[in-house]
Amino acid sequence: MLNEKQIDTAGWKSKLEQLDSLQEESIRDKNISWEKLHDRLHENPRRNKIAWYWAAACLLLLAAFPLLLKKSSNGPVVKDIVQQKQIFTPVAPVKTINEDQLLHISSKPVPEKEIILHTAKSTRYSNKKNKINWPDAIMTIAIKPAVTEQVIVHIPDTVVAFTAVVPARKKLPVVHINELGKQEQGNARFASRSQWPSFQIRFLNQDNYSRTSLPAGSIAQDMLKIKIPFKN
Amino acid sequence: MEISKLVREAKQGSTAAQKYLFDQLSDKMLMVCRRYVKNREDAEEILLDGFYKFFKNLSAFNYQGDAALIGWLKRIMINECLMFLRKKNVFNIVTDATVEEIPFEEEALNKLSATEIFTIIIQLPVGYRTVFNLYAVEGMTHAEIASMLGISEGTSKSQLSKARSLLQKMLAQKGTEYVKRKAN
Repeated sequence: MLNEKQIDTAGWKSKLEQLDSLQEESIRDKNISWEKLHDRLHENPRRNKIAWYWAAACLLLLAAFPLLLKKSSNGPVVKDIVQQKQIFTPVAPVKTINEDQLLHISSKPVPEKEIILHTAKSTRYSNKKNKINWPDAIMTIAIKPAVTEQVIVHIPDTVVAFTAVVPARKKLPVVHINELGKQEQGNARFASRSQWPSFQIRFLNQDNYSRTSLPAGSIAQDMLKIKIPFKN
Repeated sequence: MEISKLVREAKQGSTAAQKYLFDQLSDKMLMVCRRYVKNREDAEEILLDGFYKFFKNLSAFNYQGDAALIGWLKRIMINECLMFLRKKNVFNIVTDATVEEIPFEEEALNKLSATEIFTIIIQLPVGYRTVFNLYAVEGMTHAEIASMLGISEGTSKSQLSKARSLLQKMLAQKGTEYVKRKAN
């Protein structure tokens, strides 16, 4: 270190250049500063490790990128989901009978899970949707019970899309003769009250209704046996 | 111990040689940093950054004498200081349209001691101080300074002119104080 007095005669630049240190301008604690520097100098392995991690992550991303591109170009992933759908199919009239034969229908047993609707003569049942024109006769209509059908629904592979696409299950409609509408009821010709047989409904096992006023085993009793196909 | 030997050992990764070099050169380099960065803590941080780069690149350095080594280390320190100042965005200097050339009386500075010169320089505002240090002390041209600081040559010239003007005032004030002190 040069003494200030020694360089006093030199030019100001050289004075400044040769000024090694000032008492108040030296490093406070050289050892601490050196420790800091030493730690930084020997940090390399950790940094290298981090660099390797980054490299691995980048490689992983690069590897996954073509797959992602392929996936996005094919559009959303669609899953085939087999959905159980219940549909009612109206069956062709099982029997066409005349008014005179109202109470003399064959004792053919009603197939299980069938609803039999009775309409009077000249009843025209028109379903706007199906456009079914029934013949001018007393008919026994059998509606087949709910038939399960497998419907394949294509649903995108996302939770949101899934919830959006899957239709809510609808309750199956229960159709009674009284619900066919006023027009149909007005056009229908029902048997007069005096002609109505008296019924006594007996509840057996929630499914069967029988007419006990008729002799047991008679045709009419068999005919009026109704088994409710399903519960609501 | 000879610096050349220390450099050779430090190149080979000797911690002891590196520490010895740090002990030998750190005070001098701190003075360099302090000429550019007024804050002492900042200057010490810059010093460590500079030494870190020095030791990291020492293997690529071809030793040709002590002066060359010190000159290289000094250059590293100055670059670190300029990087620090640029990060702090202190070079948003507005250029004056007219640059007034002020004759600088170097004689007044020559009469001062090294400590007084150092104290006067670090009292200059950051823009003036940086340009004055680079031009008057390091001997750079205005074009070099402009490219280093990211300013125009005109700005560099005006900053130097203002720095000189302020230094004259400070020296005059110092002279008056000196005369007063002598009279007392």
